[in-house]
Amino acid sequence: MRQRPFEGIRVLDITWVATGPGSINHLAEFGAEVIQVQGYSNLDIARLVPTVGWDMDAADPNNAWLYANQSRSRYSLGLNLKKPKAVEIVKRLVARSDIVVESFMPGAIDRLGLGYEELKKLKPDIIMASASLMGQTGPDSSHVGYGLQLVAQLGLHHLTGWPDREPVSVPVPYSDYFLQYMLAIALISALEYRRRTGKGQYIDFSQAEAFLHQLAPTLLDAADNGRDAIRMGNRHSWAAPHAAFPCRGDDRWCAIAVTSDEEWQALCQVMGNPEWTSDPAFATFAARKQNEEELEVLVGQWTRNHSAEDVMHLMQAAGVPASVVCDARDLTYDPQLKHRGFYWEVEHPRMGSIRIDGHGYQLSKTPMQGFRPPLLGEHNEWVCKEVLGIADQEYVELVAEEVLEQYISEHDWDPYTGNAIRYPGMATPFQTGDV
Amino acid sequence: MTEEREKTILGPYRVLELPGAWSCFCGKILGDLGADTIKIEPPGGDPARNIGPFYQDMVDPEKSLFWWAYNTSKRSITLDLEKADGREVFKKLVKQADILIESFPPGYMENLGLDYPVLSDINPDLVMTAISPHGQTGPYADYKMTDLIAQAMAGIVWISGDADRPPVRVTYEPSYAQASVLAAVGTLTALFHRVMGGEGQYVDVSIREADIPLTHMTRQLYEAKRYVVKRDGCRMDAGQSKLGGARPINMLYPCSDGYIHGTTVGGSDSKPIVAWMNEEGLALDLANERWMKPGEPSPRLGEVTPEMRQRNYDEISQKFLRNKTKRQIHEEAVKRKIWWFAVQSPLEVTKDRHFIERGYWQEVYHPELDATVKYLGPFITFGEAPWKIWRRPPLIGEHNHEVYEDELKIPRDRLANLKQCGAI
Repeated sequence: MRQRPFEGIRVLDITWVATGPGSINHLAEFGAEVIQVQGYSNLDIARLVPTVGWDMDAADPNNAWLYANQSRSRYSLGLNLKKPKAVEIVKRLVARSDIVVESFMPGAIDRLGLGYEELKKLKPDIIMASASLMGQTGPDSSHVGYGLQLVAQLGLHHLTGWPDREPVSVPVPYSDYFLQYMLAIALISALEYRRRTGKGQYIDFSQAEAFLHQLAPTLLDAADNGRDAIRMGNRHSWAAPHAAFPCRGDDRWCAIAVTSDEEWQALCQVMGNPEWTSDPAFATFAARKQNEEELEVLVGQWTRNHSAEDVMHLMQAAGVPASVVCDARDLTYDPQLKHRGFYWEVEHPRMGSIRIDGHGYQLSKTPMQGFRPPLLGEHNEWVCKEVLGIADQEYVELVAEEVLEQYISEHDWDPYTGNAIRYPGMATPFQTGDV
Repeated sequence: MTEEREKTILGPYRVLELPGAWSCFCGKILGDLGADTIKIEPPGGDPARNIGPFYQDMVDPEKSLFWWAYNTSKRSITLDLEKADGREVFKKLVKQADILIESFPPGYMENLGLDYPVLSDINPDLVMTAISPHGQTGPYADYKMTDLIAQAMAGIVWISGDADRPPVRVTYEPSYAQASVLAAVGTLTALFHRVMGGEGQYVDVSIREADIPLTHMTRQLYEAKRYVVKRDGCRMDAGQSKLGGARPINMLYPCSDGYIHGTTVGGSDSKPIVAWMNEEGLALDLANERWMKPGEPSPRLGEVTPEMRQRNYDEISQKFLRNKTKRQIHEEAVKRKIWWFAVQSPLEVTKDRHFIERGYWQEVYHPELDATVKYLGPFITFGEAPWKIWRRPPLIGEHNHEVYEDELKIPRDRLANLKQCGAI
């Protein structure tokens, strides 16, 4: 009986940061073998995002939390793609792969000699996905940027924040984390299509065009009603109260969403039915909407005297949608996430014991399984010799010619120039486990 | 199966989708990729049809834009699972289905005698996907969920907003699409496993967990250094940005008709920024920097001091952008390889030249309105078996006749009984 959904599938990962690598996790952790191609010529910015305290000397491409969370459960092949021999190695890998995913600027992969037409010659049924910001064509296809910038163009900023204030947004590369799921769908779909027809294909994954679906109803309101929605703080068109309320403690908040008369009555009950709740000014949804400012102040007066956790438990027990407004601490110690095993603990040779994020879904018969993120170029020898059958002599030459790249130790990385420097006398190649 | 359907990615498969807002986009994804997706609605319609906005503000379950946005390519039948007869019909449908998606509170299907053990007995190949607030079990499994609650519990609200105001949510309610797209990943994984020689299985999806990744590495910063990211408008927290220097720079720049999302010198677009500003006599001293010389790469980390960055930011935001519109800036930035993007509203997105030239917007005819309605285009552009809107979102029970009479072959008189007892 088949053990894991994507066993026997090999994915070549020539992507970086979050959209690409994150999407591939959904295949890697269900049995696919993933080889990630990165070198100093296309080093993952996620390997350069240090943790807090911007300590330049500690910038170590094997000590990066973002990389660890996004690019795990795969093997690392360090290649300098500026060298023709490196491109040849990629081609040899393509001939033995099922899927290739890349996230270069449109045109770049073709200039490397690794465009879809070329790859099809190596493997006629290859599935190739290009995940670019705007798509391979169109007036903005050459626009440089990442998810952090993209969402501004797509409406996130305009639609987050207060109506009387500047737009804000969720100040992270927000779109990546919707797009990871969508790109995974693209890859699995292409596998299914190939299974039935024997045909591979080229996927033009436009991050922008996919992401717009997250706000589709709002866009239809604009396209078909001509109405331009705007940010509403925490309010909602047909729910009141609907807000974040201050709780006991420093910068602690709860979220409460009352969406029906029953929930309103339950809310009042939990608050002990204070006199103001029987004021006609709050008796109906319409009235509460009319007097929302005052309503929020009054509810806030109650929540202020309780911890956010107490508000959540009391309200939920009474059937009112409510929760703590969780910060990173809350998420780390959350009992439900613990129950679900949402966080995975892995041992990492450079980072020690780290907890990375699992996924929000669980399959009953084929559970997910992952492994720690790789060090840069950690699996050069295995990929070259075992997967590609490259002889020892040729391998040594590839190392000497700097076609193959490996991170050797933390002293060989210059954070200021982005170049690796070799200490004299450090001639022996990196061995897994040395670091 | 028609020949055209056979050529789609999911053409051979039938999907049953039970009522609810959380699963709509999941069903649409599968339907747009070719699956025969049937939305099962209670008589009177899926409660999700009451979610606005509405077409031309006509409040009507057949005109909800939320419903339309997320229910293309589906057929609709009415069925009341709370009636014993309804459940019997349902089991017949399940027997012939490949995928079932439901988003009821945990325990609801079990109370009806329709949980996975029962249904997989009827159909061992079935992939059953359940979308719930927190998963099927656990201390919060019975908690009620809305988009605000999902965002709050995922950590999105906490990091968003102005420092002097409460933390704030994303207004347009992303959690519906977010939970659905995650559910589609799990569903397709389970389907692929089955068709490759495995068996059907149960996919347990949590809405809150679907949202958590949207906070990027917020939790990791706490994990690594016990550092809690705080909200501060449109500034990327210094801990997360290597370009932040000593102080987070505001990424929002006012221009003549709104805002752009911008950068300052320090990154790979330093040269083009300075070159452009120089054409207008600004950023003069920066033009003398070593990294501005032809042939020199962009400034390396540490070459641009926080003071230089702040001065550059002030010049850009107070002088350079004041006489330019966001579209002018955006289009110039594309040409010059600068990481500047117009901050657009939904209406501006619908007029954005890029999507128009890509042919993104779809015109779908609604015969019941005798009007064409604009819809969003492909979420994925496949080289083979392209994405398509196969049919406009269905009317309530629009396909009762097709499904019940033609396909299930339920005799007319029996159907009449079922209708009268409220099962259909």
